[in-house]
Amino acid sequence: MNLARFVLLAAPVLLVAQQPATVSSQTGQPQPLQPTRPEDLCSVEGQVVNAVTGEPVKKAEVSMNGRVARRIAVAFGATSDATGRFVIENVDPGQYNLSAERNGFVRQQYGARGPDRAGSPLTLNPGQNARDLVFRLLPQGVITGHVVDEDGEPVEYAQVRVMRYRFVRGQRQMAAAGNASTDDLGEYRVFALTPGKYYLSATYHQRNVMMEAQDRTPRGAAEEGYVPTYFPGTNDPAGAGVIDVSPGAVLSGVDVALHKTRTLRIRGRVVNPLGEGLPPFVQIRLVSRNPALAGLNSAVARVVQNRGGTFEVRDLTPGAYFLMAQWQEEGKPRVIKQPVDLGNSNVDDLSVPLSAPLDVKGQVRVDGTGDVNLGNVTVGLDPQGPMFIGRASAKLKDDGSFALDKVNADNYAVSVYGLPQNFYVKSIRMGDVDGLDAGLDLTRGSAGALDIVISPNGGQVEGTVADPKGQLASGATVVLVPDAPHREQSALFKTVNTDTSGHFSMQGITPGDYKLFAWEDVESGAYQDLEFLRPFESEGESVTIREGGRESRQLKLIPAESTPKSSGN
Amino acid sequence: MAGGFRFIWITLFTAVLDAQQPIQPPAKLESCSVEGQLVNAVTGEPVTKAEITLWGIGTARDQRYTTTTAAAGRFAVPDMEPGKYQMSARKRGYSAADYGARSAGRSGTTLSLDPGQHLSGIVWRLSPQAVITGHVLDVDGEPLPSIEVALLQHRFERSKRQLAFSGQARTNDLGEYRLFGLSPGRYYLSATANRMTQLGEYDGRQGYAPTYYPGTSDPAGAKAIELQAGTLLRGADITLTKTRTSRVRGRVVDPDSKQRVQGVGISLQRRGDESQFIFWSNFAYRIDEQGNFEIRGVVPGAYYVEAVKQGEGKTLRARQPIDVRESDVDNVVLELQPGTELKGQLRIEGRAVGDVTDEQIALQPDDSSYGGGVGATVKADGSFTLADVQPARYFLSVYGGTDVYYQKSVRLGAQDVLESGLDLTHGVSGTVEVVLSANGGQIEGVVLNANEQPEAAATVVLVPDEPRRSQTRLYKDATTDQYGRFTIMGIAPGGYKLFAWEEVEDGAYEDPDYLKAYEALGEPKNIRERSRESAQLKLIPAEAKKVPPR
Repeated sequence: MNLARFVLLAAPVLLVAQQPATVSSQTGQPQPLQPTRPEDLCSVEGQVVNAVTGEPVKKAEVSMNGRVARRIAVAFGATSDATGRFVIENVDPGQYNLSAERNGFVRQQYGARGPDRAGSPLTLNPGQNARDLVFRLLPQGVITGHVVDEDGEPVEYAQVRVMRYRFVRGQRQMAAAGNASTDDLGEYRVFALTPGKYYLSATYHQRNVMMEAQDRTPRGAAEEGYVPTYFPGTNDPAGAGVIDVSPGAVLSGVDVALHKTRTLRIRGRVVNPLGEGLPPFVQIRLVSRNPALAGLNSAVARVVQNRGGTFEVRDLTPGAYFLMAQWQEEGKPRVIKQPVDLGNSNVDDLSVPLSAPLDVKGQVRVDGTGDVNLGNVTVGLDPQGPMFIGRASAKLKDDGSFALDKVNADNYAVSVYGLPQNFYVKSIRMGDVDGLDAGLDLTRGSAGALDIVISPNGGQVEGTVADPKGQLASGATVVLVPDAPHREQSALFKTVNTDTSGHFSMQGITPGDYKLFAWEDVESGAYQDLEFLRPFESEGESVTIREGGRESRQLKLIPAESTPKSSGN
Repeated sequence: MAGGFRFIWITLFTAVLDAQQPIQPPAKLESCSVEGQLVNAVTGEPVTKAEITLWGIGTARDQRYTTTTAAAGRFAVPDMEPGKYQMSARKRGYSAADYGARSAGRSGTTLSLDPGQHLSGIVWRLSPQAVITGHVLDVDGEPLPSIEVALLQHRFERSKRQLAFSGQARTNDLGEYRLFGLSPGRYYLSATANRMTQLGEYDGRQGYAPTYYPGTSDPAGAKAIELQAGTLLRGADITLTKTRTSRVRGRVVDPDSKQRVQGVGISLQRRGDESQFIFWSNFAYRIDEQGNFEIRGVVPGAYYVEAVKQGEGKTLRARQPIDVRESDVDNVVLELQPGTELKGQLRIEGRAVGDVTDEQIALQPDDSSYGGGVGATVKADGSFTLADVQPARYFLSVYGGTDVYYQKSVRLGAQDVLESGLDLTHGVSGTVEVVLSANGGQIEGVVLNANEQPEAAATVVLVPDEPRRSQTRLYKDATTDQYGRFTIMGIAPGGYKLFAWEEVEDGAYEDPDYLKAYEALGEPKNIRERSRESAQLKLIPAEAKKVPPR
């Protein structure tokens, strides 16, 4: 969620200054970058306190990452003083994401319900002085311990991963929340943990992964190796013990002993079905098909390259996997995946054909007439399944056409981003296939051009959220959930936070039947999980959106106490 | 860092070769074996559960074997292909080492295994590790978490001795770091605050500059740390002090859009300091539609400021070196240019056209702190295409089965660029033509020590005569095997000197100042096409090692 956005901003090559689609004047010489007029500069003041004790937190770093008028990246910051107070001056007007961090505490976004929740942006109008911003920092949790081998000897460079459940595309998934590597004493320390329930695994680290060495270590008939071990001592993720981290807790002695166990291997060969040469490097990984485990790379045992496209993946446990092969082709990342089932014996002679990519062309058309600037519209293909690898996207050309080159043969959901105000996607078709409901199956090639119709007549809904006492609730998460037959379509879900006066509004809604929910505190994406949604069904406010329609609803807040957390069970 | 990169380059290319060769039928040659015992160099106690790796060189370069030491530190690697090998050991609590190496980072003894040979009785003494631990603190003495601590050593990089990256650790929430598995030697430390979020302007204009142990931003003021085998150095604490940051302003010129500059990303990259392992810094910046930009929160240092625009299947780039001191930097002009395609043809004298299978072509920029190298696989007909070549000066290398070949000529259009390198600062015109020759010279020999005994693990270096000393590709080296023997192949015709050092830093001999002291000890060799020379070299003992210039 927000972290992903940060990473994107921080990656220099990806950092792109997007401009709004206005036509600039064509006057004479360019002027140097205009500094903000002194009277328009803003300031931000507030205090950082300990969320548990309420005491001021000194030396906390408050950062503002922002977009000013023309969507440009700037960053300001200040350090809190002995009374926890901070002042950031000479800030350009614009919209900012604020966060506060301090060693010993969990980083907190401004306006977020908790450390792992999305924050809400702060908008600064020219000359505005924002005061009394309060950041309540939760003291961090720490987990520390030793990793030893079957002889009780410390293991160095063991990879320790701390995990918790999160919702990813509406599915409860184990995801990494922190990691560490052991030192020569076998010690590790994972810090800055948000209080909550965690699981921990330790994995032996093969040092010579690049080399495909023939192992001449004397051994018995069975292949033995190290597989990830979950605290307190099991190779089965389902048997992992819960580690409950309370605010400020330092849990020491979380020790893991690694034991060699009988493991399985997959041997195979990467082949080019066109009979041409193979790419110089192909990376082979195994990812669990169990959605709860798909976010863990722990199922990746070892990548071994060999001549002639042969490979061997070792130290595996039985299970259902996707074998992912990734490589570069003319500068573009390619990936294919194929299911592999590992029973109780090794798999040999697995053939992995590197299918040829497709070029998908298409057109975005506007329903009705009118001259619309579609300069910011992007069409994306998101691979369906547990992994995000292999996403393709393309910007529209001036005539509304687009071309997605070298798309992997896979199943996709089609998404359209950057639509003008109140537009919605009316239809997506490829030949006879309706891609709006079912997505696109490109595993057998492309069935012609992709035809996307967008309409300027999206529906709108606005309203307020009130808590059980009848007070208007700010910062509530309002979610528009499609009716039962359409809940697989994540594009139809919309979410927005109420503003400081408890108000919300949504636009660009596809006509249809929906329910509106307002949560005080909900994990991002949880509402796409049918299991999660079931107990709340009766608290949803039905709304039917018509083409170009405007609806208004007053919603009742679902209090945080009655909302289960994914990590809580 | 360049050394590290060079190593990775070569490793990668070797792997490419592996991937492309057809599976060969099992060798009919008699198999070999290596047996020995691993012991603690200080106590003599056996070292068990150590990971031993043998990897082939020369004709055996596809062979790799591994095993684990058992009781009494014994290891045995049966069923090996004959050929030449190097051997390394890894064990927790010890510094990683190659068998026979004089010190860390040097090549070890080459093990020559003739068909059917069983090499046994090796006693290998492994040095206990050294460890450095400490804290990174702010001026109030409070711990700073997630700080990158870099371990630095003087190394020869591009013929110059300079501080180079050789390991890293990261502080935890207690500000602690621990660097372990270290070999004896002289080290330096630096600490860098590498923020996850964008760098910006904090507390007015304050930021942490990279700081050398014990607390200076000037590499010349860095304090050396001497480590012996088994040293546990505690309390190597580094205090980070905030310094004033600057702004960098300028303009991006995009030839594609006369009116608006869109979709351009700007970044700063550290320049010229090999000890800085952080190449990219994510500074906050703003840019308007005219391409005017301003970067904020820049700590003093030497940088490249780079603009990149990606899209429509091509990448445009521009890059300028800047020096940031106390004041802001203005008027940086970044003129975006597309990367170009450079086509070429590789020919191997003595081999038919259509029979080029193993080769990889690489262009490496002559400024090592700019990571803009490009590579391509040579097709069977000898043609190759280097895509997205950015304007810069480059040297061309050919990797593959090339220890038997030498570069006979490299032409760019009508121009001979074998010695000058490729000047593509103004773009590309013409194609590259590379001729390799299999008719290089070969030298076989033996190294004798002061007692007239063959010396194993000596470093034999072939150094070209003036005026060709600046031609890095002409230097060749080898390590003697257990019989003191060495072989150097694929030597370009010309005059050379051969040296045999007991102990020499990698690349030191490319430094004219270093070599001056040894000039008289070199054995002159004149190499012609196809000449087969033999040599008996006198070892230059380690005691005669001169203190290398700083």
